[in-house]
This record gives sequence, structure tokens and C-alpha cells, in this order.
Amino acid sequence: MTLDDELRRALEPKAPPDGFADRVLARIASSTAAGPGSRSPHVRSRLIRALAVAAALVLTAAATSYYRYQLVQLEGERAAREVRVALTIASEKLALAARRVNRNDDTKVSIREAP
Amino acid sequence: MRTWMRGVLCCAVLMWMPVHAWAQGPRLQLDKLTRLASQASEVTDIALDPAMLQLAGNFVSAQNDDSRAIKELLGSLKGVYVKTYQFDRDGAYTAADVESVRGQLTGNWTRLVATESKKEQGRELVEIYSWREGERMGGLAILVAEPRELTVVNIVGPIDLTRLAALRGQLGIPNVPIK
Repeated sequence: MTLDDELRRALEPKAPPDGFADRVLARIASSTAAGPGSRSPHVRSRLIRALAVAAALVLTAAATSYYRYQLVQLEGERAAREVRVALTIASEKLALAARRVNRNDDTKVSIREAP
Repeated sequence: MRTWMRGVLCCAVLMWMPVHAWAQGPRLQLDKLTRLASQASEVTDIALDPAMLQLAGNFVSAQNDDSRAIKELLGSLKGVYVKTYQFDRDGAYTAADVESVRGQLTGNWTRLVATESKKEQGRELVEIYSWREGERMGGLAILVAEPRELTVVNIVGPIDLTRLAALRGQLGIPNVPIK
């Protein structure tokens, strides 16, 4: 048998098996009845997993930004407290200097006009 | 030759000193005092740079007069640094500790007030310096050395002494010419 014969035999038209057309039509009918929105269980689980990951990312981002906000809030409150303490100490020491200047004892005093 | 080189060296040192003092600006280096913290019974160490002052300004509510006054003062300041050490015994700090601060108060620093009294318990020293930027005050330094307390306040930026003193309803420094 030559190569030409083999090719001719392989490519010669053959009738489909019995019931092939019916099976194809039935399959088309069933997929149309299920509708375009339906998903196979595999696709659905992948979709759920993707949604879960997205939700986790959103929650993490929200938690991080809230944590940062809290940190800034604490830092700001601490800085405000420290400013109050620092200026109070400065004010008290100015008052102490004024008291020393006005004291009538042997304290040596020198004063110069502020610019 | 050696004399010539020595002269050049002296000139270089003399030229460098005021430039160095100016370059430092009104911010004092108070790191040498931190060693006192281990001996002190009470320590207040505050360091607020411009960023922290700005942040603090946002958190000082302007509801009462004191807060409004603080907010107004903060607007122009570039730094507030305070170190206070209180001790349980006399002589916990040395004259060198005081001098480490006083030594920096040269150049543009002008001493406004100096009071010194010697008592049985030891020396009491209160000095107030201002940093001059032209005709206005660009900084403030307060040094208080008592037998059991050492305080250094360093405020960087233009500050109104009267407003600062008024924060606690106290009188400011008398405007009296030098004796």
C-alpha cells in the first residue's frame, strides 16, 4: 500500500455515528436553557476566592490607614501636651527671674533691654 | 617660617570660631546633659522640632485663652527644647555641666538677665539670653541652676517674652537698662 492510498483512505468521507446529530442538538438545547449567567462549580469557587482576597485586601488597607490615623492622633496629642509643659516651664522660669530681680537680698543682678 | 605658620593657624582658628557659633544658630546642643538623667529623681526632656510643633498646633484647641496664646506662639516657632533635672541631693551636677551650655551662649546670643546668689545650700543662677537676628529676637535660652535643679530652656524662632510670661499670668522681665 502506497502513501497515496493510505491518505485517500484516511480522508475519505465517513458518516457520523448513529444519533450524533441528536446528541449535539440536545446539548445545545440544554446549555441555552441554563442561561448565560450560569457558572460551573469550578468557576464559581474561583470567583468566591477572588472576592475573598479582594475583601481581605480592602480590610487590611482600611485597618492600616486607621492604625496610621491613630498613631498621628497620639503623636499630635503628645506633642500638644509637651508644648504646654515646655512653655509652662519657660514661663515659670521667666517669672522666677523676675522674682529674683525684685528680691531685696545680696543677689547679683544684671539686666539688659530686650531687642 | 614656623612663626608665619603659627600666625596663619591662629587667624584660621579665630576666623572659624565666630562662623561656627553663627552656623550653630539659636539651637543649643544639650546632649552633654543627658548623662544627668541617671542621677536625677525627676527628668523632663522635651524636644519639639518644626514638624512636631506644627503637629502640636493642630491639636491645641483654641477654646480658652491659654490655648489661644499657645497657638499664637507656636505659629512662629521653629523648635522648643527643654531639659529639667531635679535631684534628691545637692551637687549632683557640676559646674562643667552648666558651662557646657553657657559656653554656647556667645556670638549672636545676648544676655538679658543674670541673677546669681550664693546661699548656704549652694549657688543659685538664673540667666536669660536672646538670639539676635538684626533688630528682633530669633531665639531664647533660659538657664536655671539651683542646688537641686538644673533647667535649660531653648526656644528657636521669634518669640515675644511678654506673651510667653503672660501664659501663666506672670509678669515679664522688667525692661530696665543694664546696670
